[in-house]
Parts: sequence; structure tokens; C-alpha cells
Amino acid sequence: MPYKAGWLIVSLFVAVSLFLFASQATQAGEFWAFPPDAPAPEYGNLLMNRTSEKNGQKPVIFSHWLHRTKFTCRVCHFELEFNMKINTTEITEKTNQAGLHCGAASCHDGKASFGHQEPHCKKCHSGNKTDGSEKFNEHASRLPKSPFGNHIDWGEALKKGLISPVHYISIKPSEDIEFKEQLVLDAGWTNIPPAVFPHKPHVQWLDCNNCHPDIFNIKKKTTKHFEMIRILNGEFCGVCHMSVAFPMNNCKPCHPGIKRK
Amino acid sequence: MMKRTSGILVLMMLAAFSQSSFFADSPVSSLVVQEVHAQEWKDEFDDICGKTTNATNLSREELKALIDRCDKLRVTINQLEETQKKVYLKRLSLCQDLFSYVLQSKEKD
Repeated sequence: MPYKAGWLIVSLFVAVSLFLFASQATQAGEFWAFPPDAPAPEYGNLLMNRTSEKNGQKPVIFSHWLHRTKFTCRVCHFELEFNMKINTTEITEKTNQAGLHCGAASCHDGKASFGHQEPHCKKCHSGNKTDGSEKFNEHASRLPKSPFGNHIDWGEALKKGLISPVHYISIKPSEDIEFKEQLVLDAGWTNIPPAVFPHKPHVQWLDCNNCHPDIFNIKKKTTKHFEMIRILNGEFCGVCHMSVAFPMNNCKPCHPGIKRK
Repeated sequence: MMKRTSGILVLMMLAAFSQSSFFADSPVSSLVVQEVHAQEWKDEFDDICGKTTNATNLSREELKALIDRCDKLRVTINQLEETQKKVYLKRLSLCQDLFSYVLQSKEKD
């Protein structure tokens, strides 16, 4: 009898362990409070309202999806000095008129794209985050699919040449660098496969100084602070991957070994 | 003969006039000078910040030289009007911070 009971306990233990092992990825995915999915055409859309309403104007709609088909992140977030955090850049009508920010040459200068005068004001000052949905659907239909965010695989679209965003307007990068190294970071949860960070797909969109040293000061602060909870709070990878780049409920691109999508 | 001499005289007068302080002190001249200076600092800015993508391949000496150039350029940018100053100082600090970061990394390794 004690022999049988022993086997029963061992079998039970093994079964529970196997169950836990198999379901841990799902649990991890469900454990974190991922923000709810926005409708695909609205993911990455911003309503900028630092001074608009104070000046009697409606907030400005900005569609990341539309702009990233034309420019890489580097152009706006480095060359044109748009901070990553909304409403922290001092964009004003004056700066736009002076050829800075949105009004930069090759942008909304009245030549490359509509300028800062009537009848165009309401195109941006619409106060409507859903603006451009129809245009989005038209664009999205010819681009590779992804399960989250805009439901567009932007990396694949770039790779296949389906979009050709401009990488600079005045500050030409010195040369293309081959970043072959991949950063492999162990996950905090047992049985969750490590996160893999490839530089290459990131430098196709960004400049080194977009991430280093402000967001990632690895040499000084190491990688020990890269925790999911902090990333979900908009730090580190969460600066982009919570709002513009594919969202983090898409586990697989970062944790390639994971079973869950 | 008379016509030729007076033509030469007119040309000489025009040349002297253009070199005189009349234009040098005029607003037109000052605008031209400002534009030239603007182009100079902007070229320097573009050249410095165009090297960020290659920062990891640069030697310590090259990185130090770039950091020094950033410091010098900051003085010029500080003299610009307020809007331009704000925008370009922020961009310059992004570039300089990256060079410092890469330099520190190299010195640590």
C-alpha cells in the first residue's frame, strides 16, 4: 500500500510539473497587464495637444503608420527633434513656419507636402484620432500581415521593398553598418525562453542616438533592469513597443522560442 | 577713346563701391554674412551628427575629437535665436551623448 501511494504521489507531481511547464508561456502572457488592442488603423495614432486647445485649435492628429511609409523613425526622432514622449516637444506654429518640426523642408513645407496655411489647417488640427482609417485600409491591404498593432509587419514590408521610407533629409548617416550581433537576455520566468535583441532591424529605422545612451545605457547600468513590468510602464523597449512598434502582447518576435503568439 | 576710359572708370568705381563699408554695414550685407555663418554651423552640425551611425567603428581619438567639436559648436548654437537654439541644442546633445557613451564603453572594455 505505501508503495502504491508513493507512485501515485510521484505521478501526480510529474503531471502537475508537466502541466505547469506547458502552460507557463500562456500564464506569462496572461499575467501581464497588456493594454487593450487599439483598432488597427488607430494603433500609433496620436492626438497632440500641448498648446492647441489653449490657442483655440483642435488637437493635432498624427498617424505613425502613414508617416513611417515615407520616413524612417530616425528622420523625425533625430533630425527633426521630436521627442519620443507625446507633448514634450515644443512644436508651435512658429517653429513649423520657420521650417522646423513638421514644417521642415521635404515635409510639410508646401512643396513636398501640404504646408501650414489655409485650407490645410484642419487636415492636422482635426481632433479626431480615427482620421485616415479608410486610407489605412487601402495601404494595409497590400502590406504583409501581423497579428497585433497595426496588423502590418513593417519589418517585412521594408525588407520586401513594399515601402521605401527616406532615412535622412539633411544629416546623412556616414555609412551603413552591419550589426550582426544579437543580444540574448534571459527571461525572469522559469521556462520562458530568452529575449533576443537584433540590432539590424532596429538600425534600419533608427539612429544609434535614438536609443543610446538615454534609453539603453547598457555599459553603465547593465541589462539587469530590463524587466517586463518596467517595459510595460513605457521604459526601455516599451518606449516604442507599447505605442508604435509591434506591441508586447506579440511575444514571439522578442521571445522567439515561446509557444504563444 | 573717351567712351572706353569712362567705361573703365565706371567699372573701377563700382568695384571700389562694392568693397567699401557702405555695403558692409548695410542690413543686406549683414544678412548675407549671417546666411554664410548659418551655413557654416549647419554644415558642421550635419557633419558631426552624420557620424553617429558609425560611432562604434571610430577610435577613441576620433570620438574625443568629435566631442570637442560638439562643445565648440554648442557655443555657436547658443547664439542663435531662441527656437533654433532649443531645437539644435537638443539634437547636438543626442549626438554628443552617443559619442561619450561609445567612448566610455571603449574605455571600459
